[in-house]
Amino acid sequence: MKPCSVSAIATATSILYAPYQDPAYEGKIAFIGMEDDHIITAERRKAYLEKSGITLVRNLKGGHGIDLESTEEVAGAVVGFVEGFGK
Amino acid sequence: MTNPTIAIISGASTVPELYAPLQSAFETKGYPTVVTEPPSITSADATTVTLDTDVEYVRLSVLAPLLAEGKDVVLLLHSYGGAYGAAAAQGLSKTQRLGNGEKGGVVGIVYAASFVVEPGQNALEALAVTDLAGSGIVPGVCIHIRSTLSRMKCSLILTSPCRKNQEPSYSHQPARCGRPSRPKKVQSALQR
Repeated sequence: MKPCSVSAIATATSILYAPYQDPAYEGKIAFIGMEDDHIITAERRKAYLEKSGITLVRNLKGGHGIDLESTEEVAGAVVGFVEGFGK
Repeated sequence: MTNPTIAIISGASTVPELYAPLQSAFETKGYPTVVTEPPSITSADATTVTLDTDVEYVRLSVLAPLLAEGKDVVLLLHSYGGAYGAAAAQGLSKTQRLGNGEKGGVVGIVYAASFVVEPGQNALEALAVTDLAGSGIVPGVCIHIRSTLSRMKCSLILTSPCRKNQEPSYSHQPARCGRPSRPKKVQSALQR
């Protein structure tokens, strides 16, 4: 029996690209960290932000599964960012 | 002025139905949504799927139809979605498309509880995972097979970090690995 996603998460894309390095997306990228996220831990979040230079950040209470928990808070944060992207 | 469509780029361990509460929250606020169902979840043969497969799926099956209608799109990247969703954004910003005389485009990207992958990096490297289950040493990942709804689905659940040398939990149940579907190919200006 094979997990469907193993080969996908264990292989890198051949596309050598990250939007945070793309001038076309300058000021258009944001990051939401979940305080109780045991996968994207606080240390990992810090490393991501340092590496990427993303400065639009919100930290919310909740865990990794934003599909099922803290949905109102996440939606509210995303909408807030979207309104800012449009300016 | 129409609100952009929120394209929820799903994580490795989820199925679209699980994003219904989040979709409802956006739609209540006036933002239409779509949710991805990438080949890494749906493919009958997991060994054929790579990150590039999922990137192609987002560009052709999710973004192309929206952009063909001239819509603005915000990518909401969740978990593993930060790997394949971010790469799919290349060349599709609204700024670039307007310069090419095209309408609509990606107007923003939000990483939410998401990997932020560097160019040429895979998702596990983004988590600093150096060994998968099988060696008995799993620094940060337990792999579970679970059933969802009325169907057996194969999915990776990234759970809380395992103790070092802990055996991963496998459920060796005979099951189909996802649905035997292929990503929809949409005729699109993206196919060049």
